[in-house]
Amino acid sequence: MTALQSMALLETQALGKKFGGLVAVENVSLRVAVGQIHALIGPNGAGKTTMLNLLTRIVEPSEGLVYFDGHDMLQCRPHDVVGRGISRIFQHMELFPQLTAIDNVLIGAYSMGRTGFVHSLLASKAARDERMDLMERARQALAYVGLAALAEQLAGTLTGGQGRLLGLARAIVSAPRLLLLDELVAGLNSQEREDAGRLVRRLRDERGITVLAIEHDMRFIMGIADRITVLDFGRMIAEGTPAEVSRNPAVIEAYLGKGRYGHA
Amino acid sequence: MLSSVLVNGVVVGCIYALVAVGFTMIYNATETVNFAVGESLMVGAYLLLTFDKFLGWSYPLALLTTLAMAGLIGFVVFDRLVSRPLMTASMLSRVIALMGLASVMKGTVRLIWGADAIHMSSPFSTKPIVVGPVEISQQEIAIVVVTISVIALLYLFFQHTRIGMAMRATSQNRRAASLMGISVTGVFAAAWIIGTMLSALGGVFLGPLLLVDPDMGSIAFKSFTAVVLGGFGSLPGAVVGGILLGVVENLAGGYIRSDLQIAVTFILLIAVLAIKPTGLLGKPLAKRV
Amino acid sequence: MTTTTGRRLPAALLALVMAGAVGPFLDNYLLYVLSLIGVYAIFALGYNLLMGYAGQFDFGQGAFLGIGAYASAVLQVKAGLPFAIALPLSGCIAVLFGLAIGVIVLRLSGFYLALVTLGFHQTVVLGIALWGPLTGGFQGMTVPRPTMPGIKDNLLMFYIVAVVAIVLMQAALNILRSRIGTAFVAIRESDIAAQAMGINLTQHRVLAYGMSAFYGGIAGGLLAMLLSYITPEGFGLVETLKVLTMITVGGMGSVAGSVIGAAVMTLSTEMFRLPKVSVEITNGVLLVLFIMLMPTGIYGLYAKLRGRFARSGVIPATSVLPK
Repeated sequence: MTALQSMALLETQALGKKFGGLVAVENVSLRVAVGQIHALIGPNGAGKTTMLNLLTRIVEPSEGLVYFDGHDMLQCRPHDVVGRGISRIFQHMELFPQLTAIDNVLIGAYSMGRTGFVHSLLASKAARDERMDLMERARQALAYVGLAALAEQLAGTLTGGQGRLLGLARAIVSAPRLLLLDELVAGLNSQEREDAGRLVRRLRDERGITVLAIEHDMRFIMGIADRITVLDFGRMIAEGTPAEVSRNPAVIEAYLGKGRYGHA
Repeated sequence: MLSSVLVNGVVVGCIYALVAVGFTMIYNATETVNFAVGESLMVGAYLLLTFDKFLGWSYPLALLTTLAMAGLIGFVVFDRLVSRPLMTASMLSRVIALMGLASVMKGTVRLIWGADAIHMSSPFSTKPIVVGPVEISQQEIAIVVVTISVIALLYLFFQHTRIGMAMRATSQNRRAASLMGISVTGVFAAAWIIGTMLSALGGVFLGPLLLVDPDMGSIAFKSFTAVVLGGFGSLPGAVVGGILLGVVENLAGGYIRSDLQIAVTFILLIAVLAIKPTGLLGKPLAKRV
Repeated sequence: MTTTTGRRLPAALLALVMAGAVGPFLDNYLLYVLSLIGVYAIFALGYNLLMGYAGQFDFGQGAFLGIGAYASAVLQVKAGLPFAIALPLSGCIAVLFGLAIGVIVLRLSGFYLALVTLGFHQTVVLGIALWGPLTGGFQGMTVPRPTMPGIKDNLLMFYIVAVVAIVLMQAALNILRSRIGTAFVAIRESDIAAQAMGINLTQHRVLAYGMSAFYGGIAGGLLAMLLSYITPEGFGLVETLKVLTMITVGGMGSVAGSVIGAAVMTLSTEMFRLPKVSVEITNGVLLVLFIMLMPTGIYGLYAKLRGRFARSGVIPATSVLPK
């Protein structure tokens, strides 16, 4: 690929994280190109979720750098991450079960609002108008993932698959440029996985959202990823197209050697 | 005199430690923050007062009955009535329930025994005896000796008895413990019984040192601070924290007016939380992600 | 039913008008009880904002009541300020303390948070008691009631409390229904997810403390004038427990719950009192019973029956907006 083609939206340089004596991530230099679906895979404990936490600034790196769209992310505080254009889905969903689906998505639109304390206090017209606007965005996001009919249902009563879609809606309502997926399809049945895959591809094609997905499900990944990075014990052991990676002996060994292999 | 200040500190620290250990034991086993430990202490004092002073029983009998009743209250009221039904609810609910219980206990005591402070005498003399470089009274020796014995007994209990080991297992991993056949409800009961008895014992000791009144439970704040100082969740920490707090307070008390003492404790609490929140013997809390 | 405030504003105005109309016909004792309910409703509201909405384990709320009471008393008695200035000022003074404690407890949670707020409360009450020359120490101080020619002061007090309570309630509703209220709920439910959505935890937590301190301070200032005589002991742990019981009984996380709780508790202690059974016992028993049997409180039960909400009396941001 030429330099122009592989313009990196997200780039990490020798990123590393140690928790006490435990090395979670070491010397990971990842480049996610604009408009691609990039997968981060590896056996359990390979450091994938730590990578996401590093990228969303929940965790401080022990070493290395992170750049998003040319900006140094290490200056960024956790709550500023979404403002930069990065949205995240959590592995353990972190939905708000006592609120309705639409309210969950509305919270996702928080970063798009500007109403401050005074306007909120006075319930000014500006505040109300903004509220209407954000509600509309929330509805659109819900409709995009196909959950429009469940808008008023409590998030806690949704099925696993619906909950994932809700999390996705909540993540996309802020119009992110980069979407971080953490085990989006874990525990979903094959139909739900297919639908999810199609949805992710649509997000890339229709909205130009770049995706970095952590996954265990090999078939799902092979189906949607443009590029794959493989981690093992916190280190990069391979990178390339799905075809290249699936033939890579180091990758095969990392999976087979542990007696664990993702869904075939 | 410095040595008598230290002695006072250790003595009152023993009382803090007893309550702190009871509190920690209850937390470790049931994951419940018992904000009513102070009131358990208070009830212990009042019970002893009733049996010893009002009913005229012999001190050993009064003491045993007090402890037995404290254990009973711990089991029936704290464990069965309030804590068990709320085990599936949030921790906040349990905390609130215990605060409510504390209020009821205080009000009931006020109702039955009146709001006035009562003097409690101790079977041990308060005359200072000279032991080496320090002056210490029989009563103070009794407190320290009993506290040390109780802690030693607890240590043996946890290391060598089945119930003790079951409690340790449950503290570390409740699910695994129950899967291994440990009766978790039994462990809860044991924790509440022992914990309440320890607090009551603290009250028995504290009574003669101060006056007995319905608000004496507020001293629990010191024990909570001791827990933070020693390391939340650590039993040795509770002991160390309690005694250390007692000593520090008494040292500071020499230079600061005694009614400002609560402010000293508060500042100490903030300082510990700012500098080393895990306390002296505590482990760093794992950050959930 | 058009807009948010469109729906509520008439309710607030209606309440004001009703208070104004009914007032002159009530006897002194009723005026006193209603004023007391109003004061505690304000106090409970502030506390509910902090505990029920933002989810912070604060057990020292009584401190703000005391600060507000004494600030208002001192400003009026010692500095000669009229109550119309002293009252908002005491609210602001309480806010300063609220922000201070908010910053101190920022990195704390759960037990540590509860403990520090307890200690803070005790230290504040002690400070008030020991500052003899200013506050009258343990003896307490007398606070004059506001007077206006032509209107008896019980009635005037009732009107003042009614106006302040209604205004503050509307303000709370506005905030809770706004983006800020949404942020509070998000923080309460999952602070990590809230951050991922762009919510600044620190800012919002400190704001919650500030707001609850303001409400507590105003309630304290009004209480001082209502009681006419205040002592440091009157603002101890019992007050925190009282208001905790109010929001538990009324419904955590809701404005209506705060009012209901305040009304129920005040009426039960003032008017329907069992002989010899003290406030402590009533409070404690109600607290335990409700947290075990009806944790969402009276309002929560009502909301559930009307098919709206599940736990904690949570009113999510949009439920009162028109669709």
